[in-house]
Amino acid sequence: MSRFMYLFRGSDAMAEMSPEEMEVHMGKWKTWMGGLAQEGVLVDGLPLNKDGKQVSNGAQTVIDGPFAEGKEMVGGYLIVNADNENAAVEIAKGCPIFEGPNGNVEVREIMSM
Amino acid sequence: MSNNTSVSNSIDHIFRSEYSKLVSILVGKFGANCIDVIEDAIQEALYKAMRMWSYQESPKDPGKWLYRVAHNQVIDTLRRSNKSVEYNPELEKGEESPHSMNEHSIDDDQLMMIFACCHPSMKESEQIMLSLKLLCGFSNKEIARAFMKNTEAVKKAITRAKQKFKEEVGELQLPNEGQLMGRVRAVIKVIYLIFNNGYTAVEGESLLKKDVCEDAIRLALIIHQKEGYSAPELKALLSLMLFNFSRFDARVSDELELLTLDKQDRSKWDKELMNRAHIFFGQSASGQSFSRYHFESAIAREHALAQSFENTNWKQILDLYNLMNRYYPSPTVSLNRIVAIDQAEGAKSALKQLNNLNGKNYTNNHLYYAIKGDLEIKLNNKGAKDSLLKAIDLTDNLKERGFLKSKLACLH
Repeated sequence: MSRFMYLFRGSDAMAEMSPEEMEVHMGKWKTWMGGLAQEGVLVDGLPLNKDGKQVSNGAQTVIDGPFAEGKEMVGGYLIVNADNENAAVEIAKGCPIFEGPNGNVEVREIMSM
Repeated sequence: MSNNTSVSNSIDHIFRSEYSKLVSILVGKFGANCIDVIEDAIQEALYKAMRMWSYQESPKDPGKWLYRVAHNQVIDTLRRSNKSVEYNPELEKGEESPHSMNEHSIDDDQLMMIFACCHPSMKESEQIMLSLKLLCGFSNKEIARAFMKNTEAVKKAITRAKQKFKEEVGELQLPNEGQLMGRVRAVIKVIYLIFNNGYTAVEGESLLKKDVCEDAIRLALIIHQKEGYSAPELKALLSLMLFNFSRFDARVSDELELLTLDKQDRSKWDKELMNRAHIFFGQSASGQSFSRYHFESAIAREHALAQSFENTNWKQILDLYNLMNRYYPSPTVSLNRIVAIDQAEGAKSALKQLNNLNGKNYTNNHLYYAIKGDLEIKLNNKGAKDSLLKAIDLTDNLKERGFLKSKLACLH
């Protein structure tokens, strides 16, 4: 069993949804994540604020976000248990982020000893 | 899509109902000319909530959380836009929760907002659009989808209405005593039209339309609950809406076809809603005034009382249509009256009365020709074919057209 991190991108398009659509979308996330939790797949996960800072240049430069174009920006992450990369990809396919036009999940194995 | 439906059936419409509360409280606090900033701030707060609450439990009092975030966002934007005239540091107070000062209730804010959205400076169509947007929390796209309108047209109407809203409304307030009943009557009309738009038109998304109807009832109840505001016509309208709404689900077949009264399974009518409708009907009879809502409600009540389509008291319904025809004449009332005559007295009498109508009012009315054709079929009159062809020609609705064509096919 390995751990994988999902990095979510492209949820910014959903800022334009109507209140009702947002609530429906939220319900789908809750259902999906609730399912993962029940199956023991879910380890952790949280959304990220769209503002932030970037520290670079030998810690000499600190600039304001945003760091990338809206659809490139990481909007949140999840850590899951999965047998292997293929299994982690299959789980990611159920993510409601794909309802949005730019929905994108990056699947990365977390290195362990 | 079916997946969509099941999820949205199980949600509580918290976002939509909070939208209308938040917009009312914040416009009450910052003024009508800040409406754009306020709408953006609420949208931002809802987006934030959607993202956070997807991952973790939503807070115990989501409304309070949303208020705090939206309120801070408004302050932030106003401060940054440097509109010192509009921005008053005093406004930063009351950030923690709405009405910590307890000046008036959230219902009062919403009530004032209802009057503001139905401001006399706006056209009726603009009042309807703005109410759907600000009081019911629908997006332009949803309004367009529910009413089969073009999104651009909806957007334009709302922009126009919002311009007047900013210029004319200023601070939210309740109408003064002299204007009160006139303003209440205008609001009642808008609520009636919103409900009818949601209820009667065949096109549009069914789920959205049900929400529209529910919201019309909710708005009417807000006014009803304010002491001194609930006019008899408002109670009649509430009764009418509840009678009709109790049949909402029974009107649609499993194949999503619209069912007429004679084909509905009456056991599916919502008894609880009907009981409430009966109570409002009783209350609407108090006082001297009566209105078209009284008549429409009385007719809806007759249908509710009937155990079956055959047992309906058509004589009573015809009497009501006769009165309506005298006091509130319109082509639609006249045509409904013809249908009642057919049921109460027979097709021969109905066709005679139909032929007495002023044909000029009905040249483009497909219902006129559909009813005419129907009566002519019953009487074996050879004009039936022409009438049905005319009706088919005049209707844009595909389902209706299919229905008429199947009738025509039976003639051959």
